[in-house]
Amino acid sequence: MSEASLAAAEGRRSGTETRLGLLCLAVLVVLLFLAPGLVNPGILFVIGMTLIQAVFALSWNLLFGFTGLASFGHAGFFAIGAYFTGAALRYDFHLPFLAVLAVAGLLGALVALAIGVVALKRLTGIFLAVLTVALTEAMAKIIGFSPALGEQDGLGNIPRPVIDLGLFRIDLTHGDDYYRFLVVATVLIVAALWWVVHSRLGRTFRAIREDADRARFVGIDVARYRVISFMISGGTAALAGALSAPLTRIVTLDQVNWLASTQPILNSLLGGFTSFWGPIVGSAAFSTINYFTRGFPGLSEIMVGGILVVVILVAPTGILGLLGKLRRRALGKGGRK
Amino acid sequence: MTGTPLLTATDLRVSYGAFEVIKGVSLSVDAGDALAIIGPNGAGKSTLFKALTGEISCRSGEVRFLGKDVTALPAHLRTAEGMGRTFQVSRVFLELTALANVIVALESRQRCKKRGQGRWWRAAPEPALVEEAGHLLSQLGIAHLRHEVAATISHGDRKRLELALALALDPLILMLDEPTAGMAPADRMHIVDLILSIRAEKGVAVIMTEHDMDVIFSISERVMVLNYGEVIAAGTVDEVRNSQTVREVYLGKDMYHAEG
Repeated sequence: MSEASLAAAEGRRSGTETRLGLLCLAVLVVLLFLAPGLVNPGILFVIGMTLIQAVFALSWNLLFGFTGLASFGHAGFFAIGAYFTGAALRYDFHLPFLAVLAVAGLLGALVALAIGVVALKRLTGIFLAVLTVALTEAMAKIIGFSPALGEQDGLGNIPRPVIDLGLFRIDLTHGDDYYRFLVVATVLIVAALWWVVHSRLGRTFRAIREDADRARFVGIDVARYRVISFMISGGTAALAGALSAPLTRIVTLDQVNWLASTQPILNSLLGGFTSFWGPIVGSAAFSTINYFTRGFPGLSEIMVGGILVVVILVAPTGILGLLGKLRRRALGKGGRK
Repeated sequence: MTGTPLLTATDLRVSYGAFEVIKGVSLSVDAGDALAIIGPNGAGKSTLFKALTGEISCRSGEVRFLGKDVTALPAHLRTAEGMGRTFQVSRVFLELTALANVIVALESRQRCKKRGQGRWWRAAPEPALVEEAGHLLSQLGIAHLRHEVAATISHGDRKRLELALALALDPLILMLDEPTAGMAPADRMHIVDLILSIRAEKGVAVIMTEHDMDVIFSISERVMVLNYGEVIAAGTVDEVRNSQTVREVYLGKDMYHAEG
């Protein structure tokens, strides 16, 4: 069954497995930290972008996998964060960088709140999908005509920030320092989202995903919790965008189009939307495929398309769903316990 | 017992478009009462249920719960006030385990009652709630299924789980929409026993719709007969059983006269 069930909360997964999982995670984080000394700058950049895509995909999957809502214009939230941070650094808003990140996340959440309040009763299904696409397209048009945001050319020459904590300064402008900051930020965001999904709030979201009517009849204010989920998701997507701007040092309209909106969807489906970790695994897999097919223009699109068809037809629960099935088979249980 | 009835509906009217489905129905249920609403298919039983629980809004009329006007209150707030409900085709949170289903309901109750959650930063459910959920499951005879995912448990057990969800919020009234629909006769009687024991233990009032007369007669003291959105008879089980109009509706007019 899906990892998304309350298995962990009920201690159904054995202690050894949990410890093994935590160990793997720790090793991964250490490797990510050491990566600047292990790989060339090109690959390091790809890893950095993968971390950002992973956070972005996690934000989308909080909606889809855990609350049962689908946003097809999630790039809009990402762009809010990216453009705000880009502008804040480039035009020097006199805000500490951590505050810039916080404001970016808050902006994303506020836009989600506004959409939620306007569409409170219809925050489901095709209506939300179309609404998010429309708003994102509108945003792209507005940015395209804003000279301060670089119009069609994008906002370039974004400087990397210096974090001033009063007692000491962390200079992220040199070498791989920003990358290391990105690793820390990603770990913190992933931890926060893990908490959301596995907390009382996450259980409420899942109940709404399973059956909104039944949820109402256990006293859950469905509309309110859908908006809360949408706000956390929008805020996190904006945060992912905010983290991306200093890494790429340019923000362009490519990050606001519908193709950018499909990226977190593809990553979540590939990795497995029923699992919390699925979007991260999917992002990593996608980046790997892209990296190894980069020399063949057009091939990566075909590969990506082909893999998606296979995933949807053969393993609708993605890589992690497939691995779970194999694991159960290896344990000789044939199916669920 | 105070003078105020638990639940009253006054001249409820519900329309789907131009078509009036409920044409001025009134009813009253006291604490601990059991009322069965019967009637042929399409009589408006389920619609009346939805109007009482707040799933659909009424065109006119008034619903009062504990003396308070709840006509404009959405379903989740009526639930918080103490109206529990089950569905004709049982509805539970399919991908969650039986235990998790009940935990979600208990956590919602905590929220409804504005009871703070101790140690909110802990992601796992509170041990006290897990224990209470387990207790509720064993009360309904499905403790052995606690770690089963709801989608994999049988029809009858799912009905029990749904009852557990409704009971988790300490309801004052249980609204049961065909509690034994689609069940084997033996299973039916289990559910009846269960409902009777819940009533005996917690003094919960019950409103139910049902087709099976044995089930109705074992649970309810009072019966209301609905036909084409109107109440055509109401009273004790015996009164309704002997009513001429009810016989006509159920058996057909001609048949009734032929029998004679």
